Amino acid sequence: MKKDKVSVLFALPGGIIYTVLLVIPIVLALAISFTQWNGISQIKFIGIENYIRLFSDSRLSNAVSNTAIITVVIVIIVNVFGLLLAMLLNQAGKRSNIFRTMFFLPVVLSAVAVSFIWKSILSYTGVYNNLLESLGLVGWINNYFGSRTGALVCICIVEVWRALGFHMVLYLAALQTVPQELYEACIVDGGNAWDKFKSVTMPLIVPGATVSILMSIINELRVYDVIKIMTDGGPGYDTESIVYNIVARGFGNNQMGYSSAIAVALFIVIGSISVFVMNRSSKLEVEL
Amino acid sequence: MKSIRKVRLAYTILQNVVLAIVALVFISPIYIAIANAFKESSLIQKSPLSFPIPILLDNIKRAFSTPGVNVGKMYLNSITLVVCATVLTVIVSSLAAYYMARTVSVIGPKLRIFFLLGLMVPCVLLYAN
Repeated sequence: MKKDKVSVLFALPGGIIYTVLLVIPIVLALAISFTQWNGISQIKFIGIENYIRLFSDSRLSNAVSNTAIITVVIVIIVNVFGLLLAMLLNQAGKRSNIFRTMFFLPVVLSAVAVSFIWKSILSYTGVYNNLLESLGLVGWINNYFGSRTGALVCICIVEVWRALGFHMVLYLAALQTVPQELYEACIVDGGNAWDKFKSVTMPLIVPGATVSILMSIINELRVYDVIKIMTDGGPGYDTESIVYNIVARGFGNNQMGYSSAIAVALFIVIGSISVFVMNRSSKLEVEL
Repeated sequence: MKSIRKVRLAYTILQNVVLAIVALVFISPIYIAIANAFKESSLIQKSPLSFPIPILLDNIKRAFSTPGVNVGKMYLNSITLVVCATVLTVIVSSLAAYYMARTVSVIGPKLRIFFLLGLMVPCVLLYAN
């Protein structure tokens, strides 16, 4: 009993830092979200008016649909291809180290640097268009940031490039925990490659897959830096994400109360999606 | 027996080719960025993929000599931040993780959810104040 009391002190520094830096700002943001405040003048309490406004805001609903598109596309691509690459690398064994390093390289670069690199490639006067011109494919030259679809595709490409290596490593770690005997047992039972994947690999990597899927959902719902640098929300407000919208509203238009309300709503959405995914996956998990 | 070995060899080759192609796609943006850092802008327009010959250091010099942009100071800021944050994180989080992993208590799982909250918070929520 006494031992237990001593050891709870271990968690105390972390708990205090977390409370000061995280819980207090959240509570403050929650308080601000019920007010009308431009950051400078008197704070005016207006109840849930900010939250009612959320549902009739066309600029915000556009940002929500952009974020949803980006999240769905990235989560599917990154997890499917991350798993495929991890399985290829896992089979390749020792030879795969060089490939692993190459795939992981974009992860260690900062998002800002990555965005500038890709902007210099994909912009109208960028590397890709120059390349098309020198190949004589003048008809393909396009201002990709000029339309909503083109800009969203560019953002998705950059996000995939940035995230794939990380998720590949997560899947690789999960694959390496699968015991080899189970594959042998599957062969003895007359299973083919698909059976091995479906009945051995899939059930056993559920914990790793959960972490990967959850992290990709959370990260993409909070997408901001790539959009800020690549398109700056443009053309118009067409490629804004939710977080971009929050920052633009809060600091650009001085609507602190309203932007806090959006942030709190986003936090609740992310929290409930996380709980849902964790619940679902714990049902799929198998005991070895 | 021989045909099985042949199939397996073909599979290995295919696997490496696929990996190599994907790796090439992954590396090329980084190559473009590095190569173009050493080129004149007219050469970037003309042949964006070529190797920088001659290697031009003008761009690098300009980055270090632009007035108002003190690269050394920027690095110092980043390094200070990284060192402080890493030291603090390692100490604090290993202590907390030790408690959660080693003791069976009611608080442990609750604390884990509390810490997981930090991942879900949109960072902008914290700047607003």
